[in-house]
Amino acid sequence: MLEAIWQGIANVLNPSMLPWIFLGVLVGLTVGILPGLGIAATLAILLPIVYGLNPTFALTFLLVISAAGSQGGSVTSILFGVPGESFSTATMLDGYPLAQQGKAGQALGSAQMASTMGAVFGGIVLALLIPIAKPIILAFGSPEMFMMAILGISFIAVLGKGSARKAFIAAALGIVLSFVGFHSGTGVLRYTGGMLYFWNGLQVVPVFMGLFAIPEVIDLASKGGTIAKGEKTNVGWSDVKEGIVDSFRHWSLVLRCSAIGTAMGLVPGVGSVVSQFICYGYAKQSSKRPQDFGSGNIEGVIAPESGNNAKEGGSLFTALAFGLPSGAPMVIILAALMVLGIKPGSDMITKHLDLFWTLVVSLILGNILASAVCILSAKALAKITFIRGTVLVPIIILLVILGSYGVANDVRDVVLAFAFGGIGHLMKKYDYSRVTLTIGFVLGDYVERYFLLSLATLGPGFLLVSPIALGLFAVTVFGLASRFIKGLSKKFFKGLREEEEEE
Amino acid sequence: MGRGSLIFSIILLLVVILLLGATFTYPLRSKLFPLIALSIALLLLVAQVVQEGLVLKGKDPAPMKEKKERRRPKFPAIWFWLAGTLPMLWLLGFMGTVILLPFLYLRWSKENWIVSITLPLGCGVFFYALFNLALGMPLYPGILYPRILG
Repeated sequence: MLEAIWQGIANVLNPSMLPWIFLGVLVGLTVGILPGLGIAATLAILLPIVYGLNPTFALTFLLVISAAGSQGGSVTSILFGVPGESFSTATMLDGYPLAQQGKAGQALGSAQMASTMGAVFGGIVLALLIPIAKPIILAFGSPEMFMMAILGISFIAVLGKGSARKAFIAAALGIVLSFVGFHSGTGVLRYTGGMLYFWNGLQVVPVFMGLFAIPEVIDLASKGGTIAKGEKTNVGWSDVKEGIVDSFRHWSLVLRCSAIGTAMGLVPGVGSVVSQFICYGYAKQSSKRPQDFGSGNIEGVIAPESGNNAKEGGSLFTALAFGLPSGAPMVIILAALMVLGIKPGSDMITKHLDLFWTLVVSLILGNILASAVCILSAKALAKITFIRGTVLVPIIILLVILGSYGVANDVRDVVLAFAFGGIGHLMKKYDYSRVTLTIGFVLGDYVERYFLLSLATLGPGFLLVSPIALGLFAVTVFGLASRFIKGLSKKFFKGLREEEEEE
Repeated sequence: MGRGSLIFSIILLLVVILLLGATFTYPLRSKLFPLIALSIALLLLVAQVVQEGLVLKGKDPAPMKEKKERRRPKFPAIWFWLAGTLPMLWLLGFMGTVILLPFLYLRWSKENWIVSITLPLGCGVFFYALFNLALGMPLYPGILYPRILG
């Protein structure tokens, strides 16, 4: 094993490999930063290029693009409130408010450092997992996945700001939105209105872009000025440094969210969007200042970023060792493996262990390099938030159009984004939580799919046959109950204080 | 909580009722979860509408009038500009919109002519080079452009 690790490190640090890593970082960052250039689409475009390459170079190149793309997505989310990638949406929830307060440098520094820490954590866990991963992965069936999704949905109770009732209404509507399209369980078309466009359901990117970016554009255009509305008028290195220090200050949160991210990455089929929101919800639930989430709490940036990048390690393991991809980018990497004549599966951790380690090391190195590039350019990037709105508004709208269009080269996705822009604006204006709608939208389909699957395979008592599912159920109930009791005791003591004051 | 909020909640309520009507036509396995989510939404929205209605009934109409007068004058123009994007995209296609949309906004915002011309052109060149030339992404041409070219 040690020999394979050293071989992996030597392969990555090979002078002929380094240019591919640097190129991968640059391509990945560009793809991540620009909405509309999806990581999976870029990998698919580059797939023919890797045919003639040495398999180690080719796979490293693709993997580094995927890793750097995850890092770059947070930049546009923080600066413009436009998710560079769908899995950067949770980062935007607190990153953009921080940018509005003139703290874009801090948010960028924090996001990049947390991402790197998450990626390193994911890589290390990946290494430690090799001997014991198989039983863990096999332990996660449909009842466990169902309870995992329910646990995510339970975060709605803490994620909404303002009116709890409105937050739940938005979540319920989000869940219904996730059901639009072809229902694989019965073959029925739901809520499509007879339109072919809706058969595949609503695309995540246009929905998120519309819900979050367009209302901010409307605000920026109508209020005028710059994105940064705080007292600060410039960004210095000290801001970026403060963000980096923040990630270390919240090391425990980074570790916990990285662990959640890695665990979710190990489970095939769990997307990055889901794991990011679960980390965000967890961070809010465990925070000492949950009321600040959504209005610029640095923990709201650190948690999803560390979780998202740690997830890459877990996903890589499942993809390489079992041939089970966790998302579209991993599907392309698996396709590249097969194109290059390498069969994913147990062979990867027996015969091709050196290649396996090369990929693990390049994943970590790719993340570190991408993070370094982002941190070095964070000061300059953060200055964008001080450019006057009249210049930024049309650029942001173009990014929204491009981001929505780029998902499937379908102009109807732009119409969808604008429709959700209108809905998002009204929701923001009338205090209906867009975050809980997003959570419902992301997890609704998961809950239904795994519930029906568990019911069909294990019968109505499916929860009772799985100790993990029961454990997750207990965690959900405990989380909700503790929240409820906390709220009640807060009210009780507030009442007592008021009575004392009256006396 | 004002009249706008009440109207929005009523619209949501009507949408939920409409969706519930559609849900009943699906087989059991397909309607189970939508029914749960929609029933919760329906109950909560009814409570919300009642609460907002009661609050509005007990509210003095004078401050609301005042609020209406303070509405931002730029607002309708921004909505018009955003709504105009879609017909523009349909007519002029992707590249036409990428150039014309920012130009119109910059002129409306009284930006100087240099920025108003260079920024849209720069965006056009950048997006065309990246998406069309580098990535080979087919950009929607719109309905006018192909007709003009025959």
